Amino acid sequence: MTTGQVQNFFTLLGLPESCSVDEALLDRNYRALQAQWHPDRFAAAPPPERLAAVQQASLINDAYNTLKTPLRRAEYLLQLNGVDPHRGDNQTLQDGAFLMAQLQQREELEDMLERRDEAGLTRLQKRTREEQGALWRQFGESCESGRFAVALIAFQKLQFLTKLGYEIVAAEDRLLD
Amino acid sequence: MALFTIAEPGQSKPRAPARRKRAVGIDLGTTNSLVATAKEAQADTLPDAQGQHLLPSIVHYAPGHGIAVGEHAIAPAGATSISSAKRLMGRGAQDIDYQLPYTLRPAPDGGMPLIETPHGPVSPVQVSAEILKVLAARGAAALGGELDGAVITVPAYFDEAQRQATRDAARLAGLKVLRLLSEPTAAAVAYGLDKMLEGTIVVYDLGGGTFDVSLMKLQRGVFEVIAIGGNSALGGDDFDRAIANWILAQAQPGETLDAQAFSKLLRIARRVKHALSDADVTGIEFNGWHGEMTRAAYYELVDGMIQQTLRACRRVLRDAGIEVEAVDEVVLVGGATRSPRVREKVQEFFGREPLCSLDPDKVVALGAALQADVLAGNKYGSDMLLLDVIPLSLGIETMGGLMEKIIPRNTTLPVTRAQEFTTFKDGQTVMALHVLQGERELVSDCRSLARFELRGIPPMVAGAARVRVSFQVDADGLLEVSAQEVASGVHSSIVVKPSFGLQEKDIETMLLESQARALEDREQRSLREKQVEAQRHIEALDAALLADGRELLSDTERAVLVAAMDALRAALAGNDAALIDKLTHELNACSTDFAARRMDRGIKAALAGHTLEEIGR
Repeated sequence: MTTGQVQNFFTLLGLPESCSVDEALLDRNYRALQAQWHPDRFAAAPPPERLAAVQQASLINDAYNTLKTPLRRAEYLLQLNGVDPHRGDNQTLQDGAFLMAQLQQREELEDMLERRDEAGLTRLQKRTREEQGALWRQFGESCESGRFAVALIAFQKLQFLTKLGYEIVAAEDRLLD
Repeated sequence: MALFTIAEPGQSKPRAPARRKRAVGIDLGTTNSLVATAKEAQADTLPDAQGQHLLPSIVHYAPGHGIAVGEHAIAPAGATSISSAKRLMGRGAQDIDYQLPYTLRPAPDGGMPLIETPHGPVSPVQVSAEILKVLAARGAAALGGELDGAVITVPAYFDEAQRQATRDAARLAGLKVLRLLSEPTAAAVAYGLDKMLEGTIVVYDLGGGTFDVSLMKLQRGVFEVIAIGGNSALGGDDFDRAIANWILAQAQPGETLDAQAFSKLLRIARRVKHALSDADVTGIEFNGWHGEMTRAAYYELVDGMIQQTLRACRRVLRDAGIEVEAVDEVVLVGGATRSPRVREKVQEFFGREPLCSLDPDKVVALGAALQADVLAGNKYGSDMLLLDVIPLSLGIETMGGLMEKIIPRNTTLPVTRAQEFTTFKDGQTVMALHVLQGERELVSDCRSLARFELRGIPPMVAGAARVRVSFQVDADGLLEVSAQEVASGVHSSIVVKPSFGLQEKDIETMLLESQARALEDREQRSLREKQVEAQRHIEALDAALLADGRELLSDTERAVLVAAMDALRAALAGNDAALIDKLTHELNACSTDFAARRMDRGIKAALAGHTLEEIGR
């Protein structure tokens, strides 16, 4: 966030407050806003106006990058609805079974890397993606019905799976090198 | 928030057709620099009075007062000519692990070193400012008045300190910077690639001494540098050197040449290189040796070097995770890309014909000029918008010498990020921040940008104060830091100590010095004028006294006049302009009567049949 007062990013970019966004519209509105506020448009303006443009364009960039990335967008939506994933009592996931499964998958990943098991990696990746898809549906439905505490749990699981997804890609890269 | 109350762009502008803004694009290069200007989407580089477009980036500080730039600065002995100052911009003495033809004086605090000159030590920023002044003057002359602004290009990999040094140089040169633009972006703009909606662009830049390759992605008008690579010790000059060494090995095996003889051989090598662009074989004559070089032999010499540049291209593609087939355009930059062999190999590697219709030496300056024209407001309503990204992550030092990233690399600019810090001692009112740039974990592996000291934090118990520090990086990639204690709303004052740049007060001093020098120069000239005028006056009076002094003046009158002349003569030996002025006036006053009497006498003499000429003698 750039300032104490926060303009709602959805409003700023002319989008309805929702966990899914119209990406084409997001891109179009972002470009239109930058075309108006980018400091380059104020290159010849007096310093106070230039400074204001830098701040405004920063805010627009921040809003765009937040809404563009699904996980960041989800986090922002939760914050808007009073459920901050970074707040102390929200930080830990209380789902033992899920956490156990995570540990297991990570061990599997390391084994595959050692065995140079490309096919295994591909399977793990497919499974992770399916799991992510299911969680995104759950997150969306919970938000729609206003059950943000439930949405928070889906979000936390998605954070784990997204990280696992990156690790799988990194492992594949290492096998290819 | 007052952000939304400011006028929309254009609203505050006068409705009357405004004067066309005088804007230029400047390519401040390591070896050569250029200035260009654009009109109606047509950009052209500007030549000097001799018709030369390229200004060698060389500055010569002559003993005495003179500073020469460009061709004139190539000193005969080479002793005090400063070249490649760009490589020193925003760098520390420990970064310079190569030989320079001049002496550096390391900065006491490990900052940017100074260069020893007959004018005393000068900063690389001042050297660059001298080059910019010459280009700015060229632009002002061509556009018919003082410049309204300039876009200056910088390499894509330039970090904050190097960009800041470039901006400081512009300020010293009296230039208003509209934007610091990355060189590959400028090259892409020169070819109009900003009009592409989406695409992947490679800029292949082979200069005289360096090779840079940049992979950019264009998405919805955002130019994003995805990956960069290159070789800072490989360039077109190496091609010439390879041919020269080949000729030497054929003509005088086992011999070496002195610098002068070798530079003569290099000229022959360049001619051979050009000849082999068209012919299959060319004759060579060197020190009585007659021989020939075939195109195949030439290819054998340079292919290895070209292959090295292509390996760097492959590495960049791999870093970006992009297949060579996904590249939409390849742009050629740098004089060495004129070589047909380079073009052929680049085309073979990328599987597409590279863009090379523009002069590869000028393409960066041309793109900068197009952007300058838009930014100065000459093309208001143009939808060209170049969004740049921060090339390296920005962060701060945390406990244990680790770097914590605050703004990751490739974040679209401008960007503002706030971070909260707290005090660790009761009543602590000062806090220190160390800002770094780089991708590595350890502080020692990153580049130190600046140390900030926050003062005036309200005294509280440890951990109670919440200091919110805002890091703002503008569209040029330049950082500004501000801080506020959240609970009390007290703004902390910030003392900045750049690690490699000039401090604000250094720039002020340099600006004042250059203004003072200009003033001094003016005073010097007016003093010289007064001295010459007074001297002429005294000589005329001497002659008049000798001719008519005894007849027309009493002894007292003559004594007064001679005393006034002696006083002025004595003052002329000194440099006191005011005294010379005063005594000249006094001498004028007491010689007026004498002059009038001589005039009368002349008229009388004329009436008596003498000519004025006789009397005047």
